[in-house]
Amino acid sequence: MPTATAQLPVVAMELTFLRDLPGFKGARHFVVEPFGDDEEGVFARLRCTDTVLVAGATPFVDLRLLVTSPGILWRDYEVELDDETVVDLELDHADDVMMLVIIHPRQPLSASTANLFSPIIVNRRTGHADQFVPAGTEQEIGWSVTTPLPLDRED
Amino acid sequence: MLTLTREVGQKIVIGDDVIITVVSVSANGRVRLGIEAPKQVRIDREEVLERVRQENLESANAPDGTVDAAAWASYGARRANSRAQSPDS
Repeated sequence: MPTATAQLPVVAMELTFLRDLPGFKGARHFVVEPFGDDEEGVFARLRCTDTVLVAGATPFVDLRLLVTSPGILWRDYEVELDDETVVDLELDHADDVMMLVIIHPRQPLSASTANLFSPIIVNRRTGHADQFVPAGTEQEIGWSVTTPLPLDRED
Repeated sequence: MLTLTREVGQKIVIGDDVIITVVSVSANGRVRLGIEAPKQVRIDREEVLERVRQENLESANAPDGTVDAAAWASYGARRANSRAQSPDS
């Protein structure tokens, strides 16, 4: 249902997560900001502005993630949201929805992967967000936590 | 760990506002649970959430050398261009 092709914001956009980002205790407030000189707006930086703890009580300094709007790289990407996510994020109109997927950058770049199983769903009207965890498994959903990037000869 | 014995239809209450109901138990040992909780309480299958959590941790703050902004911008531009030139986009 949600549009995967929405362009990333050209200017910084503030997000408030309904719940901590999994793995990062206290990580609720983020800024989506342009990444380097990526003029096409394919990739963005998701930066946390909270004090974050991992593995119990270890502080995690300056949490940053590389994200993309998945429809640009995976044109057939779709996610079936559950009713609770739609209600909790007040997604009344399809236009409200923006999706972000988290990239796992590796060296070389062509070995990087993206988490298409568990996208971040954003209500761009309210700035509320949640990392959606489907009820099924990766096999059932058809998208992996570690989906390879689409590549061609130049990559 | 606290262990409780419940029958189908019976409930467990955790704190003020989390209620777990035993919906059914099948012959092969599968248990269906119904869960009522406030929206800020995360409810997921443990093994699925653990995989997402681990991947988030590994994806965060990759070493600076790994995220070469120019390389990512160049890769992004190539993908955006191939999308623009493709007839079915």
